[in-house]
Amino acid sequence: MNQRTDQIEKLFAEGASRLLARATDAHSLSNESLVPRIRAAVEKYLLRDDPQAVPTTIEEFVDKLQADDLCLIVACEQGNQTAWTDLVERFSATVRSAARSASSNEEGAEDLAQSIWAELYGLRVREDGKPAGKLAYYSGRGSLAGWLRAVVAQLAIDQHRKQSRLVQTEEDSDFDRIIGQGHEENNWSGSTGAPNPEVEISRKLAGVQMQKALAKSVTELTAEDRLLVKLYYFDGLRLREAGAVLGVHEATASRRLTRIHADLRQQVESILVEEQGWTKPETERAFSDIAVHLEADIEPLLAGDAVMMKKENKIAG
Amino acid sequence: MNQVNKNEVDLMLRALARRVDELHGQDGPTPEAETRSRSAHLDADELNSFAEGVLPERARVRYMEHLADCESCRGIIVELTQATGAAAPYPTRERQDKESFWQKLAALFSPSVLRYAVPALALTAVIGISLLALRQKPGTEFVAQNQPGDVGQPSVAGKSETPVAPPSNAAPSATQRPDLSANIAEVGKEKPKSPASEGVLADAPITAGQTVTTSGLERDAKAASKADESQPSYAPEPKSAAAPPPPPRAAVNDADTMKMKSEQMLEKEARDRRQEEYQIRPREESGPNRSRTERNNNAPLNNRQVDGLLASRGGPRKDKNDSNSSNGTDTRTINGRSFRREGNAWVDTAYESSRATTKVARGSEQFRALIADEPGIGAIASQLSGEVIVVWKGRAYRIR
Repeated sequence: MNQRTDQIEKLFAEGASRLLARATDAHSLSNESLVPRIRAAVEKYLLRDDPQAVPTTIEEFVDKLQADDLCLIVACEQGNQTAWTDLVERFSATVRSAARSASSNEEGAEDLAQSIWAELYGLRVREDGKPAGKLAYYSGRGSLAGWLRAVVAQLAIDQHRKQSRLVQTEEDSDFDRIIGQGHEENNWSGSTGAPNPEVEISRKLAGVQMQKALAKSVTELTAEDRLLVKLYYFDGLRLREAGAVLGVHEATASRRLTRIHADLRQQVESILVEEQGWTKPETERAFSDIAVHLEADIEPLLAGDAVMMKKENKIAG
Repeated sequence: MNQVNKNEVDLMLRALARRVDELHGQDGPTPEAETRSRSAHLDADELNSFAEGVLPERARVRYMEHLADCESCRGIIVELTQATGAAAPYPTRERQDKESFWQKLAALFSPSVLRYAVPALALTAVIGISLLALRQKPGTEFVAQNQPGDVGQPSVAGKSETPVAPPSNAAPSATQRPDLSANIAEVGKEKPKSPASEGVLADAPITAGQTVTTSGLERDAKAASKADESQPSYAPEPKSAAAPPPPPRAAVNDADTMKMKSEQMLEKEARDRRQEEYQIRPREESGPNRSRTERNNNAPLNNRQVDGLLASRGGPRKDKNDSNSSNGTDTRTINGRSFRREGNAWVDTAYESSRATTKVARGSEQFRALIADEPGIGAIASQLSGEVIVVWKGRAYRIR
């Protein structure tokens, strides 16, 4: 174990040397000032999921760190005023642009930007007297500009939550509630005005059970499939945008979605047959009936969404 | 999964999403959910690293678990992705969804593929067929040079046609007098020689006084085929100026054929000359001299002999004394025909004075047509100067 630790420490030191050699402006940093940063990044993104990562993997990870950005941030942390000036000059436009995207007006964007710099520099003072700021959270794995945009977005959300007193929760709880709901709260059945109350009740019950089965099936999807479903259906993204988040082409995202539909249907049928005691013909009939009703309910809404999207596209120009 | 089924699930998912939105607005978060969400959110570095696609695979999957259930972090990720303009931050991560064999096969025959594949295949087929056709052409052209029916005919007729009769009594049939040009076309070819002809060449007894007027070429002609003089063994010369010129490949073949023929004819003529010499010398010399003759037969030809042989085939003899003077008259043998000097004219030994002659002037149109039709006559006329009387195909021509 000690041998492994020593080996890893040696890799960190060698990686720090290579990183300084790669940087165009090392800001007079030493190996010792970079090793803690490198160690934190490796432990966070590599060793946490693969504790027995081979030295080659560790070396490759370190060699892919953003040398210039990391040296700049570490220099700013050490109080290097030249580095801080360089940071503001190079990235003030990026911060301002991100703030403008996260805010509804120009004034709010300006306030947000100023808050960002305060957060970065850190108004709070640590026990050792050094200012505590968000700069310590930059690992150098991604670009500094992207990290700054993420910081702005998070700060904007925090401010919005504070202002609206609304906390975004994990959606699992929402799914749990759907699954645990009684049939009377479900509107999937869609009243058709049928005079027969028995038929109406049975249809409502079928709708509830199908809704629960579908919610449960969604939670049982793989993380990537579930993320795609959430991005496309719940966040309202286009397939191209959802594919970009996942790092795949739009066509690939479409094929995956088709496969997910098949998997969900199969899973819902399985749940209805095995847990609810349905028969196969009953499930197929229920799918057809539900689809008809949902189409009737959703079409006006979808038409409305389409109109809104057109308006947004016009404004975006 | 058919389109109807896909639409059913699609509609159900949309309805589920709307239901979730409604729940957000109705009940709000539970305290437990609120606490869990704050501590569980991804930090800015994790969000940015995920959006830029620079995370190790295991870390990426771990964060994906959170993003699938956290709308807030998902929203930030979407913004970061759009801001960076990364169309595919994980270009190498595209999974190739497993398709069945039939789906892949169907993809090969899709209209988009067939649109380009079919013309390409057609073009390849056309090119391949053209190349094959071009390769076959040289063979067919070469085959066209061989005259069927005139080659390789058994020399049984040749055996019976051995001209051993004296020239004055000679009444050669047409079959016995094949023209030289036919020999040239035939001798060089790899045609089977009948044993009979070989026997004629090697073992024909030659008695004293017997004039062997046939040259090796004549024997070859007899051995070669039943000479049908109406059908020359090679393509006749064009009869008019308008006739298309012979293909160049024919000329090449003729040159090669000529070369082969010349070598064979040299050997045969050498053998014939030795036999002629043997005929001149008394037979009693054959005993003790047989060995010499045999040695002579096997001895290589000297240059003089070669020149003589070459001259006997094509051009005027370089050696003027190359004539039989055994009877005290000048005689020459050209293309298997014997001509004797009578005054200023060379007269075919087959000619009878009672026979009518067709007068043809050298250089006239009639002469050109005659030698075009009968190149053998042209060869004779070119080798014999002055007036020539030649019997050809039953007709006597007087060439002046």
